[in-house]
Amino acid sequence: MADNPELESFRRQWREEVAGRSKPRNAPHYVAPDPQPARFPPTQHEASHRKDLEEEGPPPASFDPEELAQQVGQLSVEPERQHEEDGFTRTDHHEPSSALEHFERAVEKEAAGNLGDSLQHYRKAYRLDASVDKTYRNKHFAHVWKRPAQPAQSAPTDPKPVPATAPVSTEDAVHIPTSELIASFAQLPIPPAEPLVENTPPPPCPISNLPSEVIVEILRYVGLQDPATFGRMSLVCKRMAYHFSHEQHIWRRICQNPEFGFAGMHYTFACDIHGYPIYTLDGTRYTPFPKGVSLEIPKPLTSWTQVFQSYPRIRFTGIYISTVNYTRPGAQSTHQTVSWNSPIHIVTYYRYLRFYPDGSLVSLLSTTEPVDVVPHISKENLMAARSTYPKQHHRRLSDQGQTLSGATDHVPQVALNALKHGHRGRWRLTPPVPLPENTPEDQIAATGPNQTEESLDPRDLVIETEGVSSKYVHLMHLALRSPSASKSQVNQSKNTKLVWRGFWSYNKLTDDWGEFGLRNDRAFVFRRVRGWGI
Amino acid sequence: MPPVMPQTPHKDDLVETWSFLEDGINSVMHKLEEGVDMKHYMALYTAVHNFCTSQKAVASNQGLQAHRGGSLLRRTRSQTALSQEIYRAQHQKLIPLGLLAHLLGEELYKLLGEYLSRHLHEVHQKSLAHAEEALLTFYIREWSRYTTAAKYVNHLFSYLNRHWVKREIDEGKKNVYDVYTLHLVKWKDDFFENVHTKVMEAVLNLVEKQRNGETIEQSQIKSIVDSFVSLGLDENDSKKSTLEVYRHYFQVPFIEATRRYYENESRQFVAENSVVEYMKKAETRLEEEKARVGLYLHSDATKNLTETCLDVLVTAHSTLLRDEFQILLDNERQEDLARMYRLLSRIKEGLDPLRSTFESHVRKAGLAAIEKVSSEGENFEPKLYVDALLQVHTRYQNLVNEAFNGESEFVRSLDNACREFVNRNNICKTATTKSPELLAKYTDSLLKKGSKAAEESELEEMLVQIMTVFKYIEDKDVFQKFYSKMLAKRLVHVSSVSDDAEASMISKLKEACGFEYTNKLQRMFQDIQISKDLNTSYKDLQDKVLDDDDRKRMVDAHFQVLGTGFWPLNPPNTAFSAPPEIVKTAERFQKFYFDKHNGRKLTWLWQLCKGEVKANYIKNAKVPFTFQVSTFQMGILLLFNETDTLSYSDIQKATSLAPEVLDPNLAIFLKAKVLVASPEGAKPETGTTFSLNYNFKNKKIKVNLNIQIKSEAKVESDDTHKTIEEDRKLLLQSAIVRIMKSRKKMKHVQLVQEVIHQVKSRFPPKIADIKKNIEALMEKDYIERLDGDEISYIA
Amino acid sequence: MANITLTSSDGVDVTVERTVADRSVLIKNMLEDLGETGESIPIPNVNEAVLKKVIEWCDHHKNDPPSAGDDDDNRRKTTDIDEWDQKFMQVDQEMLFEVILAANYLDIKALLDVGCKTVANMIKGKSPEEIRKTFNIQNDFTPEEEDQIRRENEWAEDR
Repeated sequence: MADNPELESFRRQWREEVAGRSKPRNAPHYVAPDPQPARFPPTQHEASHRKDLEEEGPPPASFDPEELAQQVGQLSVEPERQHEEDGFTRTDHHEPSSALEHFERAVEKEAAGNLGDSLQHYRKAYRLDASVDKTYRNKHFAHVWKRPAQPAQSAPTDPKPVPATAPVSTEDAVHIPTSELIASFAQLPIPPAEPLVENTPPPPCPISNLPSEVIVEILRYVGLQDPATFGRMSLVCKRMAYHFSHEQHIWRRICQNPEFGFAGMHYTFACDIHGYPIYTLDGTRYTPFPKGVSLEIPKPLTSWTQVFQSYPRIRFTGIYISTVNYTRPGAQSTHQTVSWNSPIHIVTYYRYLRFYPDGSLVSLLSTTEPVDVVPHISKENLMAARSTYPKQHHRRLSDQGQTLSGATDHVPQVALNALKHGHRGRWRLTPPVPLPENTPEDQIAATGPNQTEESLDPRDLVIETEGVSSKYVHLMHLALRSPSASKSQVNQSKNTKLVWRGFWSYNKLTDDWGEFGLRNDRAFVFRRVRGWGI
Repeated sequence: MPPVMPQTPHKDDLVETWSFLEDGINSVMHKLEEGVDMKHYMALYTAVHNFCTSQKAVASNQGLQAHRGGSLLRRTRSQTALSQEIYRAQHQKLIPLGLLAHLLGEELYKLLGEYLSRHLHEVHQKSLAHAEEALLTFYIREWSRYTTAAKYVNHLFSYLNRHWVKREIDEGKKNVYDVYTLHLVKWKDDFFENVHTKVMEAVLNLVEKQRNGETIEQSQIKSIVDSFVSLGLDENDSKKSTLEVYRHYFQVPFIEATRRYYENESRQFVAENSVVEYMKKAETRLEEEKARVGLYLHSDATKNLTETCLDVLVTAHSTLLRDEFQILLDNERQEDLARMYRLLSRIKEGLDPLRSTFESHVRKAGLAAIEKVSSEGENFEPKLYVDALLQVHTRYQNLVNEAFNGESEFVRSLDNACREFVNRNNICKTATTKSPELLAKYTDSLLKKGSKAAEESELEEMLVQIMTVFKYIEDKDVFQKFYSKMLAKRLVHVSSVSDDAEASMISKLKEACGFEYTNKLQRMFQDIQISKDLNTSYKDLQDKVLDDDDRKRMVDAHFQVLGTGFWPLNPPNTAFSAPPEIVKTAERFQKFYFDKHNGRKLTWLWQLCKGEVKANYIKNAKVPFTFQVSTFQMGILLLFNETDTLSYSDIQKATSLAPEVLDPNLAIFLKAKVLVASPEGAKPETGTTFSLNYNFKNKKIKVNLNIQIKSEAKVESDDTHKTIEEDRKLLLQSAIVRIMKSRKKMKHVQLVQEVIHQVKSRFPPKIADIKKNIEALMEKDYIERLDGDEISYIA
Repeated sequence: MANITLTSSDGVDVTVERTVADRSVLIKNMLEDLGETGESIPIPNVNEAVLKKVIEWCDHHKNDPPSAGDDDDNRRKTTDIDEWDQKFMQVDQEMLFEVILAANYLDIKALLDVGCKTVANMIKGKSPEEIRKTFNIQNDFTPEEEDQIRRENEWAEDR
């Protein structure tokens, strides 16, 4: 492998640096790879040991897409920059040149789960500047986290792993629980900004003149438009924080609506496998929180906020990505004997799932990186990619300006090439209560071979997609899970992870089931995409 | 110059705001007739608005520093207690967060409620001075004043409604209502609860007066009802209303009073008047009460009130009414019967006892009518019998339609009774087959040429009536037998009144009994039609083949070829040597026919043939007489072409006729004086000689000698009955075989049941007959008996 | 139909058609309760400039069908503001909030909705700091409080 010497030198350099920083502990020797992840940059560590770990058993908890997601979350918490960023926009197209730029690109790649490329950039960054991580930390986290130790998991050079209760210090300063803190904000005014120049009149703040009922009305619109923005309102001032937590009727309405809430969930298939609607005779589909009837908050939950947060829910505002890295050994150089110097190919591919409120979805398996394809994943583009693929130039020339549903206009070739392998499909959750008999006729064995509806739990998700040819149907059986509790985030999003429970191919002609192996496959993690569903 | 705008109170001051509002509400409540000006109206609304939107603005002036510490709670007026509660609730996890409402208005809402209570207390004090109608007047006046004011206050407080009240209700708080509803709730709790008993007493007294025939102010009761209805509020949804208050406080006492009133009245009335009179009274009262609902009650009362009235007025006296039923039937009091029906039909199972009474009454009437017919001796006209049946049926069918509204259960009772007396009466007590026989004969008499029902429409109507009786006939196969016999005769003798009438009758039978039943009848029609065509082509052929001489010697003949299987006809029961003229003609046709249809067999039914002979020998006749005769008669008469006198044995030898045919025919000739017997007055028997009477006289030129002989008719009827027995046997056997063929194995009892089921549309089979036929089939090895009373089909 | 005279809080008379005035449920109710007396109606909480602005809206919308109930199903498309209304709402913030307050006071639900939607659209997609800047709101959290709230509500970002 061409870059093998480079990688080797990087690693050496890296180990030296680590040894220098972690004095209290034994410096790791080069005899064997150290499985302790905390002392290595997770990406590099994981990438280099991937092969062994995979073959010996389940990967350690430290490498897990969910952790990755947490890291992504932490990296993107930074409010000034990240509120509407989704990580799927190429902001700079020039190649990174400085150490910091390489490091930033590495972090970006790592966040996207592409460990191979990430590794490349980390390596370049460290070669250019041995203390690039410090520079990075100072740039991105200094003014958010008072102490540099905050972004624990992603700070590779930190001498000690930060204890699990990292932000506890801030909690110590506050003596009352959050709910009481928020309750104490009741009736506080919206404080007008102070004058820019002392002793001049303050800038006008007419919003502070609004009575609660009007503020609530505004918040209701904000919440119905986008619960995330509603959430950000809680950080504007105390009054807003109070309303955010106490306007249960807004949360109930959000829960009832189809845009973000449960009216958009499907508990029976709502369309056929190609996404065309199924017209049922009675026309009434089950929804857990119908409008126009008085509703009880399902036990043991106590508020609509909690219902929205923790009831099984599919997001339409972004993409679910399962990043799969697997390694295969490269050509063995005969004169090299140290095992960790063996060349390793890291292969990264991605499974993408985009859900639609009408019960359809797009499923894509591709090696194309998220940043290149995610913003373009849609049913329209999928169809456009399929139809334009063989004779694209033709089309461009002949019917100029006429596009297929206007979808392909701005879609880069790389995305189109990826999308043409996408599949359309449909999805449904498992109903929380048994539904009356209304199984659509075209539904193949709903839950795959050897399973019955009873074996499903309400967090289970059933997906059927087109197969490689029209005689196949692919059946994915996934389950919604929450990212495991992280220390710095006491109250993070729930049910944003989709773990595998099974994956089959069904031959409609022969009525045969084939099972796909999932040895390498990882859970799907949700990422918001700008402009989707809002 | 616009009036001065009243100074609105300081928006943060509850006391000032309320006293300003109270003044305003007072003038709306007490002096609305003086009018409210716009300035005041706007000022009041604005005061509410300003108060509800006030405190946040105040807070913004001073609150900023106070909370900077982050954990300090700002406590304003009523907020303090609330906040403490919040703390408790949060710690105990008792109250969901949603209850922490922060909108303003609760104070105003409470003060308004308290004001209303005070006001209503005063109203109640004033009401104590009134009773009866005056109290009603007072109640209505105060109610109207109060609700009008409530509408105003509701508008003035609409800001409170829109926000604070809406939020409270939204969050599931009980006992918070919009301001208008609050008025109603207060009225109910603080006034209505104290006066409703007295008010209802007054109302009920008024109603009683009206029932006693006095004129009352109905609108007063209407207003009270409306008020009670308005007070029904749904605890779960203040936007909806229920009728609970009205039902509980108005309807219950009202219904009770109604019951008491009519119990007394009906008891007295029945004691002093006839049942017929009582029924009239009850009907009037029911109508009155129905109208009362429309006049001033809520439509919800209809069901309850009607049921109560029916219970007291009808159910309580139903035995009395029913006892009158037979009397009314006997006297044919249709109007009163209808009234009784109307009353009893409205109570549960009220009519059931009447139905059986009615059924047996009709049956008796039918039997009595037949009794009368039979009392006139053996030989009555079939028409008399059928008319008697029809008359009874028609009379009671009219009664059912007119008095009993054509109700299906009464129709069934009528049918039961009719079936009973049609099949089992004095005339057919020897054999149930008498009814169908008589009916068939009556039908024949209608369809035969020369019946009195000349008009076609009239005839059709009579056929319909025949079908009415036919419907009740159990032995439908008997009717079929007789009918087809007589139809055959009408066809052979071309004596039908019209083809249309025949076809109409057959289609009626087909409709009643199905294709199977009329199949043969229709085939008979077809044969006649085919024969006509046959004769035409035969004639055409003869015209070609024969020369004039041949034609002169030919007998002009018409032939009918009838299928053996379809016609209920038998070959002649006597030998007959036809005269040579006829034989020649017949042979010629036979040749023609066999050419056409090879291998068929023709049997000449001489007994059904007829013809005409011209008497050229009679001296005094200017025009020769024509005798219409049967073929047998022709055979006899033509012998006299050779000689004037023949002896009995000559005739018998020449014709080969059996004496039982020959003798009556000779007797007819003697009676008509075509032949003269010697010795004079001698009977047709061996030794008698017969001579032509050259001095024959008759008024008509055509003389019909082809008269049916009495004994023949009798024999025919007996034969028919005999064939019926035979046919039934076959019908039963074929049914048994059919069933066993499909079921293979069956219990004996089940088989009998199934057979009855299959043949009962033709005749009611006797179980003994079925068993006999099962035995017969076993002997013929169609079926066999297995163990355990089971029967099996032998393939 | 008769014209109605409204008097603003600063004493200016404005004359409008009855149908225009009826867009305000407050005025509609009052005219139904009291009948048209011809006297001018005082609007104590709204000054001339705002009143005229509100009337401009009412005049444009005078023939709108009455809003169907108060359920927000018909207003669910929260971003939908018709073009005229969008233009109408292109005013400085002070006027915007004055119009909202007036609509709330006069009970003109549709106008209140448009106003609130406009404000909601100004908030949409912004960070807390940007929101504060937009409306000149001071951050009254201590850093600890802010952090605590952030972590409490982090889930709403739905990442």
